Amino acid sequence: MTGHWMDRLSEYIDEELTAEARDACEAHLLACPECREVLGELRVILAEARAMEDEEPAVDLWPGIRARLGGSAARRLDRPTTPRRVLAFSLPQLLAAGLAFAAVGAGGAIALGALGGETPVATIPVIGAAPVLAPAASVPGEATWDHAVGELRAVLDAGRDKLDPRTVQVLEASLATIDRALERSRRALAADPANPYLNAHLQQTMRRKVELLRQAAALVAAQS
Amino acid sequence: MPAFAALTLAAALQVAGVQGTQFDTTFAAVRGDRLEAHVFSGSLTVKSWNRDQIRIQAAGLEDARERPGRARVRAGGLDVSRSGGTIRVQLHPGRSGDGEGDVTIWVPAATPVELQGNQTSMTVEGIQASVRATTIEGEVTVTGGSDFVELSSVDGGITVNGVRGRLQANSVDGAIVVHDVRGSVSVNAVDGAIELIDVDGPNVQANTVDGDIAFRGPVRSGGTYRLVSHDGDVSATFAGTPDAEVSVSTFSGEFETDMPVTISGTAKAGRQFSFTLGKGGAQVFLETFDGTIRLGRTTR
Repeated sequence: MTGHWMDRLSEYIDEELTAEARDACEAHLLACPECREVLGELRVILAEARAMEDEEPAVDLWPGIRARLGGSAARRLDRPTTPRRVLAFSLPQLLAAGLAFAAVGAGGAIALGALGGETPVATIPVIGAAPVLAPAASVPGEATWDHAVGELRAVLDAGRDKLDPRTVQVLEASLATIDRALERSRRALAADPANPYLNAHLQQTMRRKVELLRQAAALVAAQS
Repeated sequence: MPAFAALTLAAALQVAGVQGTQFDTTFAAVRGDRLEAHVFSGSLTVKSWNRDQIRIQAAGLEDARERPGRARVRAGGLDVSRSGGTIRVQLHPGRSGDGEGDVTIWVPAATPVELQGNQTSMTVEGIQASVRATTIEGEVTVTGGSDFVELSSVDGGITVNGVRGRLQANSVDGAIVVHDVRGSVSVNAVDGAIELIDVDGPNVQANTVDGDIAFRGPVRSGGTYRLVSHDGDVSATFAGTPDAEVSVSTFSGEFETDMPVTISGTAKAGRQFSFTLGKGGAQVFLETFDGTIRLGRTTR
């Protein structure tokens, strides 16, 4: 039965199950730690996905690509004649996406498009054959980090009673350590805005905070 | 073979020594077996031995009153089962126990090991296969391991010795001490020092927010070595004659070295600069916001 309900967890999260199926799913979740864990992971991934900013590439690469393709091939792929296609992700793909989030961190190199629409869990808009990619050198702004921090912080706050108080204490102390480091970095950067080391260090420290919060959210999910 | 293995386990569990708070059983291992163990609270130790057998010993369980079943045993919350080539040992809180106990498992050295725990200290000795150990509260100590060794503790230090393969270790609050590793290393802490001694790998990355970092080992041509702290000293001691492009970054720290270097870039105190050792070849990044960066060399 685990496989059956595991395949339908995304529908459960999106409240697309019938009342009867929802009740059955919840009954199964009570008895199945494996599905509870996956459900928690899904919620973390969704929180992270929502935290990703809808970024357009700083440079539109399409004109250059079009010129090199030329002729009918380019016309077939021209964006005005190609509807925005939406890819829905299965559960395994979604979990893999979670790993990708973990790899690149919030606001990483892949700029995901807007979420939502008719598809169940998470979507990536694709334009023609060319995925939307931010330049590799793009750096997420503080707003992006703040968004990710806010979403993950909410997961931790909502589930902190599921964790051992000692664990919560350690997590909060470490988050405070990172916040102190961030504050010092920001102050230094305010005095020397062009300093490349300080800019990189601030980004790196923000990434550490998001990673720690992601870890905390995963702990909450595992205990749910 | 799996059917035979299941019968062997079942037979072993029928005669498992379940006495009060103790449990002890031994059964045949099958080539290709892997071990998964989850102990909610207490200690979990895995040791290798020179027998084609698996022994599971537990102490400190809730008083064991349940009878062993045909293909699995539940005693004082301890649950041992085989599924295909996976041996599962679980000690969870539930009707028959509080999930607390001290579990020791002996396996053939080639057995891949995956351990999980909540308030659990973990020790792994002599495994020559992949090791994964994850706990929330507790120390993790590993001697041996190959292929990929992945260790994690939220509240507890991590000590590793003798890995032959890739190592990844993460601790939120606790020091990470790594000795004698042949392979790439990636270690991260938030509140904790990092010590990498006699580490020989093409890629080494260590990152902590609050703690010192010390590295000693050779640098390999084409390799990348990145040691980053926010509040702590960063020390790199290269074995032999290093060939590396070295980048030093700090805000309010200092740089010390007894090696002759010619600095390029912004050479003001407390900023970012770089230099080449020997013929270059490796990339070395040494960074601390506030601490001393030391670069040295050893003949070892």
